[in-house]
Parts: sequence; C-alpha cells; structure tokens
Amino acid sequence: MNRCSDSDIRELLPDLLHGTLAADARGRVEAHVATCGECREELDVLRTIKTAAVFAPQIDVDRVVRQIPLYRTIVPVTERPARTRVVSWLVAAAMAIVVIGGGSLVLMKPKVVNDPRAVVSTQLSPAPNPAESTPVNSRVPAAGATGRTAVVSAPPHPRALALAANVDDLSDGDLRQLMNDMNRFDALPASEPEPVISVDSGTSLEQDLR
Amino acid sequence: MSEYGALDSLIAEEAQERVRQSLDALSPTQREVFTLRVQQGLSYKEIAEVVGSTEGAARVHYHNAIRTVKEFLRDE
Repeated sequence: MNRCSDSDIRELLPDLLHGTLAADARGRVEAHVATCGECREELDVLRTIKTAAVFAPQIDVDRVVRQIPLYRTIVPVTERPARTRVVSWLVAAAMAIVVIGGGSLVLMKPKVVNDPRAVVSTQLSPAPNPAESTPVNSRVPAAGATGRTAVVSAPPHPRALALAANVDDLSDGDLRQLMNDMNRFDALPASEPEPVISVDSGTSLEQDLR
Repeated sequence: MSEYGALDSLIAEEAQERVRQSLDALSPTQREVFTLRVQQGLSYKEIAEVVGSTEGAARVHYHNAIRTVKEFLRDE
C-alpha cells in the first residue's frame, strides 16, 4: 500500500470520525480518503477503536481534574514536600524514644519505703554506740534543757531518741523514759524489719545504768 | 440472536480484544493522548491543556501511537 504524504489530511481523520469538521474541510478530507488506501485503512482502524470502548480505565482522572482552573481555585492543590515528611518521621521517632526511655526509668526506679518504722530503725542505728554520737551531741550543746525536754515530754519520736543518744548527759529519769521507749519499739510486729537497737543492746544499756 | 448475528458478535469481540492488546503496547502518555484524540475527539490544543504538555508534543504522541497500533493490528 502506498504511503500517504498528506499528513495534514491524516491529522483530521479523528475529526472526520467525530463529525467536528467544517463543511469545506470535511469535503476535502472525504475526497482524499476516497483516493488514498492508507488513509482509508487508518480511518477504519480509528472507527474500530472508537466503537470498541476499551479506553475508560486508562485515563488518569486526578491528573485531568487538576487541569481544571475552577477546581484549582476551590481546592488548592498542596502537596507536602518530602522534607516535611522526613521531619515528621524524626519527631515521631524522638517521641517514641522519650516514651520508651521514661517508661524504663519508671520501671527501674526503686520502691520508696513509706513505713515510718523502717525509718526509725535506720535513724536509731547509731544510738546505742555512745562513741559515734559525738556529732549529734555537738548539735545539742545544752543537752540538759533541750534534750531532756525532748526526751521526757515529747512522744517517743525517733529523732528525739537519736539526739539524746549520749547517755552520760541524761538523768536517771530520762534514761528510764528512753528505756521505756526502746522497749516499746521491741513490740513491733515480727513481719516488720527489726530495728537496729535490739533487746540485748537495751539490756546491756540498762545494766550499764545499774 | 440469529446465526449471522452471533458470528458478527464473535468477530466484534475478537476485534475489540485485538484493539485492547494494541493499546497495551503504548506508553501511558501515548495511550492518554490517543484516547483523548480518538475516543473523546479533542483537538491537539485541548489535549495539550489536559496532559500539561504542548500542542506539538501531543501531535507527536498521537502519530507515534497510531503508527504502533496499525503495525500491531497488521501483524496480527
């Protein structure tokens, strides 16, 4: 089949197929198709393709819609740049690290002992040893007035016992009160941690007083 | 449906299948331009606006597409 050299006519074949040509142009194209085998064949192919209706799924609808000027004015097309997405991922990763790290610290934190009697046992530990009570005594220079009043009149508070640990500065009444307080500590339930001041130390202290 | 009608339907289905295969041989841009030109009847200027290209580029895409389709159908 001869090659058609009239490319202008061939470009108008789809318009002839859709009937959108003006009268003079349509007459010129139809006259050419009647004499040109290749253009006739191409027109048959185009007619077959047009009637086949096999195009629909191939069109990128979003791309076509974005070309509509009215759509652009109503809904501005804003695409997030890649750098914003990267920053978002970094922020998410940092937050995840903070949450995981904070949770680990909370789980690894030792439990705080809220039992006041356990505190008493730790504060009373230096009390039986008079040699180690010198700094405590220096903080209470007038042990006769202040310390005595604290031990005798105040309720059995572990702080008061610790301050009055130097038995040489206490009177007999104060020592008896101290012994009574210490005996009261011995009455703690067996399930609780035992105080450092044991019955034996109290007994030896009492023997020293005698 | 008559005997000839059934035969015509079968031939039409075969022709449709061949056309579909020929369009699969096109690039996405060629297929889009060819579709808009043949199926929708748009001019090259309108096609260029739709695909975001120039009128000359749309014309080239159409000519390459029609040549590929005709060669495919001729070889069948």
